[in-house]
Amino acid sequence: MKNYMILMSILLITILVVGCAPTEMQPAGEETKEPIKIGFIGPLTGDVAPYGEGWRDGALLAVEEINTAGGINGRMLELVPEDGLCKPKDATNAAQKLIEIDKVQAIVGGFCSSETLAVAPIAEEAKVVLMSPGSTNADITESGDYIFRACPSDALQGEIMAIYMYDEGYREVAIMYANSDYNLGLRNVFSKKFTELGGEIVVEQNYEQDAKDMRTQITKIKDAAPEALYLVPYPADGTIILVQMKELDVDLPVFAPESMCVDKVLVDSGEAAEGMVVSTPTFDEAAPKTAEFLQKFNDRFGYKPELTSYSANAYDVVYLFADAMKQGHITGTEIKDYLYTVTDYTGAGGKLTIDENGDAIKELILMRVENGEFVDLE
Amino acid sequence: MGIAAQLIINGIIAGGIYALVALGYTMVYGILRFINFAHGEVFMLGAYLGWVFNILLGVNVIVAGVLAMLGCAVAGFVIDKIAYKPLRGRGMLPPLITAIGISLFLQALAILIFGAQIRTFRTGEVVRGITIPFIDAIITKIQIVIIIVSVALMVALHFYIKYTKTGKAMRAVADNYEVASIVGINPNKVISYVFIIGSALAAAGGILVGMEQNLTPTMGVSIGIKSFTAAVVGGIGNIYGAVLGGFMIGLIENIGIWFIPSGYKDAIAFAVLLFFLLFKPTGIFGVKKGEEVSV
Amino acid sequence: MLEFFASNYALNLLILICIYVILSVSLNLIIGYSGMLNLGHAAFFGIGAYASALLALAGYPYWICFIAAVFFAGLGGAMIAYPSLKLRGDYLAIATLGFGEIARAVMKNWVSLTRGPLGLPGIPKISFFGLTLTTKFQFFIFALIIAILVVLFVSKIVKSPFGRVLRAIREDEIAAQAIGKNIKKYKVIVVITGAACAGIAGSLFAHHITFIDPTTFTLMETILIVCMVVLGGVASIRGSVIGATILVLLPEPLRFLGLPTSMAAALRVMIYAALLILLMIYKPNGIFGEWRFRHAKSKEAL
Repeated sequence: MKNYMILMSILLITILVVGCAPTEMQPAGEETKEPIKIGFIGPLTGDVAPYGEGWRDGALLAVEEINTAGGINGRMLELVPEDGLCKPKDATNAAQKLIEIDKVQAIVGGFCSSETLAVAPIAEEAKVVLMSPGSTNADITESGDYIFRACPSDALQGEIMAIYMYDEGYREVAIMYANSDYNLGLRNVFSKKFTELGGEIVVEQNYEQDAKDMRTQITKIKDAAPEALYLVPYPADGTIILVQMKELDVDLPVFAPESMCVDKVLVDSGEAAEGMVVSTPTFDEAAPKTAEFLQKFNDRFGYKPELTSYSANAYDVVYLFADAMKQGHITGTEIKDYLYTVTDYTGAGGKLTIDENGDAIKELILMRVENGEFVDLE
Repeated sequence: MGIAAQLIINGIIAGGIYALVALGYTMVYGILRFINFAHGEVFMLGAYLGWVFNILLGVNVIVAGVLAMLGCAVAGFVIDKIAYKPLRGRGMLPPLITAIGISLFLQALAILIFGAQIRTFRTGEVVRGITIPFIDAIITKIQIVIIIVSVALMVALHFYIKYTKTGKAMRAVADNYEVASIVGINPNKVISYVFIIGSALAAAGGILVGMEQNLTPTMGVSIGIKSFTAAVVGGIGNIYGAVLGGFMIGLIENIGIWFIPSGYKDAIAFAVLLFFLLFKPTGIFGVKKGEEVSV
Repeated sequence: MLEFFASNYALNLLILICIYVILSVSLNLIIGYSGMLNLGHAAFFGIGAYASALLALAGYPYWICFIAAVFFAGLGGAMIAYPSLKLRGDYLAIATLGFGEIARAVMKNWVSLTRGPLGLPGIPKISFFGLTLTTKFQFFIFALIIAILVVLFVSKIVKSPFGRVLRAIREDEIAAQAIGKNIKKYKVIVVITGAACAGIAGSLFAHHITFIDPTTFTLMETILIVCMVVLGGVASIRGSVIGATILVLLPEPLRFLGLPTSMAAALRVMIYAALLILLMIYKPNGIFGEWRFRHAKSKEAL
């Protein structure tokens, strides 16, 4: 009986705490000095956390800058970051909390496509804008009017590389990819396009995204003697693969998507990255807005983001939201309408236009690693 | 010949690490019948400590390694004292859950202190590895170091267990707890030593992996599960079994994905595990102690 | 306050509580009444979710999806029940862990069936008898009814003569066998039933979140459910219900602690873990614990 009482009290207290959570009852549209909250959903703990941190901080940087410059017509902007853990259940819990309790009208996120796909129906129904800086899964295009992206869908990058590699004369290639949604999606598009053009995938290997020993997969690729390798990793495992390839004396031309267009990859893999060609949204680390972003990021947080272009995208998404709000569009529906009009927005992540599905149209360019730096390819 | 030899070398390198971590699991289980779920995190902690000493504080890499091992030895000791000891004798589930709690706590702590970004520890340029003569396989310098260090530590452990007083006490307690205490061995002290040594070994594994690959806060998770599997396959409670199991899993994994889709690499360890559990549950060197097999 | 409970945030949590109540009660059935520490329970959860989702996406009516979830999850239970008869204690636990991980590897790699890491998005809403569950509130009522039915069902099993035999087996297997009871049969039935119930939870989960992928059905998920069972007390049905409620709700208040932004997520996990550890140290039998998990070591307490 005593146990039961203790229990009931714990339950009651929990319910009270959750119920009495700070809920400013005014919707964001009122003329008050209350801060405007925007949400953030991304992996802040767990396997993907190394990347999630950079994304959150990218968004945070934008929020802080906007506030220093006077906020949104006098009201401060507040970022409410929630941990999506790159998993549907946690992302949906996070989204519900942001929408119902914090009453946000716009959310930066999710990052993993699994987060975005799970949250999309919720955001759509609640008429809250969900703009992902990094989810590339093709299924997101059709997931709702309130769902946007700041990065191009897989469909683009995979195809561009397939066409390029074919044009360069490669006919028998290998694919190596991490066993996660981002990577599998790209691999599917690439594979389909490349074989359509007439090429052949002679060998394919995959690995768990957090694995550290890819030697045997590399050995298998070496054995099949392909002409080139299409590598679809996350930066960390990509670095390891480049290094291990060099150590195992596997000398293949490497082609990769923007996940490898990261400075840190070059620093950590040194010589091994030389000659690699990457496709990337026109996100030239040297372009003024981008370089400025990286500098400010480093100054503020003391490190460089792991997946640079997506951190820059997060930064841009916040600014886009802020631009909408400064013009008086404060509700989700108004922000949504504004976003559909965005054309040729030059942000830290490159030039961006939003199409009628809410997808991002970004020019993709190819770059190659020469002497330890990314240079444009003609 | 070349490919097969390369796969075997790959397997040995991986196996050395599994073996080092498996030793910690097996020693703790041998005495306490308790699966220390947090052991993988000690591995991770070792890597980070090594990084702190070597990269942040500029200490020579070997000294950094030793310091990291010491640090983890202390950590293992402390974790046992505050979290596991209060639960001794309370059955199997509470310590298991506590260990899981510690594991989560340490991972989050690592993110808090070090941030979630990936750290590297690489010393020297990235170069093509050395080709081993006669068998045509490639190995790098640090991989050779991994094999040498892990084997050296295992040999050291063997001598310790066989010839020192504490080592013999450990064997006695693992063999028969009650009799050991009757003859005057202090089981608590022995248990502490087990945690200290096991943690130091895991830390060594962590540093080696950190140097060869990279550091992330969750790096201990998958190594932890596979090393534990290796310990069971080799015969849990038996340190030679842990070593054998470690190398076996390393080899089977690498040779296995030559034949089956590489996505199943992690599952191979479990398949081996299930195979053993169904046909020889006590593992390769295990001894029937009466509780493993059903009537 | 009432408005809060009707909010989607609260309903979402309540639905999750229903799902996890089913999971923890079904796991408790297996752990507490067949003595198997099942560390692969998330696999049954996942098999049920995928079965239900795949059939729903292929256009089949919900009741078929539901039955498929029950059937395939139960099948998974059968697969592990028979081999498990040969193993005891820790070895059995480890075997179930291996099974769970292999199941997840299959979910992740059998891409032609499950789409692997890409997951299954757009799982349709539940509808039967011409009624479609469109609002969260309707879904909650449905989930609640199912959860209550499952709990009642399991309670009945436990209180029945069948259940008494189970308890006899748990306490002293050799004695039970001496009375002539076919232990194998009992254990297998219990495991299959527990697995099938987890499959039901899987179906509910899939149609609630409308997107599933292999990352949901990991070892950590099983461990969460194990914690719910232990927290509530092994072999206590009420305990499992309470345990599930607490652990689903526990991370939520931690969101509101106003922790510094850059550290919030990690601190939340640390606080959660610390609470778990403290709970184990001070109340290892759980809240309603009736039976301590017998173990070779418990006789040699320090």
